[in-house]
Amino acid sequence: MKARPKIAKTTRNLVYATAIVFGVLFVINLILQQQLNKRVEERDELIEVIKENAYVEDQVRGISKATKLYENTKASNLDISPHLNALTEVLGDTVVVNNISFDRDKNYYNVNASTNKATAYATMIGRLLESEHIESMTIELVNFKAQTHEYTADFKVNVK
Amino acid sequence: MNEKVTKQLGVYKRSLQNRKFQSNAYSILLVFTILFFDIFGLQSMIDITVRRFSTLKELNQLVVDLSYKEDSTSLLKRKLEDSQFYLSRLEEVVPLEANVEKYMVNLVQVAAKHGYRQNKLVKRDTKDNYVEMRASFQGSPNQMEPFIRSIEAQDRLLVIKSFYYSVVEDTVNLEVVIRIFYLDR
Repeated sequence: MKARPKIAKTTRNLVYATAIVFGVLFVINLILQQQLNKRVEERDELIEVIKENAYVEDQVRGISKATKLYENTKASNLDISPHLNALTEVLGDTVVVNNISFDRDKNYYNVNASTNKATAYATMIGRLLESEHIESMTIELVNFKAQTHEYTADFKVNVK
Repeated sequence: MNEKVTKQLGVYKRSLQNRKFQSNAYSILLVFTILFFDIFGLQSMIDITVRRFSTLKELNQLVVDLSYKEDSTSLLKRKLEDSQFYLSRLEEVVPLEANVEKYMVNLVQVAAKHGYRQNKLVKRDTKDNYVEMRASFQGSPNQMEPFIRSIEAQDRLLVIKSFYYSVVEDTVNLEVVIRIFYLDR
């Protein structure tokens, strides 16, 4: 019996090898395609849910902005009522207040007050300087009206 | 007769030679086709497989990231639902709009509570996210500090920029400059 020609043998092996490689690749591709479809479905579902909840992120951003604004504003502009309370408490006990003014940019109070007793000012100054809210104070001007026997003074009170 | 048979055999011989040639030609064609497919067909199929694999890898990562985002937003959504009461309070304190009219009403109510009557109110819009209001009041001297305290304690983000308090012949005048803030979009 005559042996098969070499070319036929090589061709046959080549056909087998190609078919095997092709088959393996085909199966891999099918599996990959299946996986891709599954992932695409998952992705679409997740995107849908995230779209539905899109307002949540906007709301959270708004909350963060609002709380930051509140914290920054309050940190750089402390309430004036604590030191105003300390000031009016002492002034009310010792002298008669004519006017008080305050400007946040200057951070001090201008006070104009009157009394019949000069010692009332000393008491007032002593008590104000004891207060934890008062940094310092300056007597700017004192007038004495002999007719009414009244002392009127201008003070500058620096707050902490 | 012999001549006829010889002629017929010659025809068969030529036909067989042609078929052998054809067979060889087809075999060579087949080998080239397979080689051609090996080089181009399989190559492109391998490329497609590699591309699909890398796409799947990227898609997997995307799904993981999206799942994380979805979990985070769901958690945030739940937390927001739980803190709805505080959110409405926050919106009152730092509103999205200046709501000056609403604040004016509140200020008059607070003033009245401390025996103060509002005389004048001037509103000034600014480029920043606050509105400045200059308000004048008349009222009782011993209620000045509680009134200022109540203004600062209002459910609204505000700052008292300045004030001027004076007593002239038992009439107390109080002028307050207030900055009311809002969330600038």
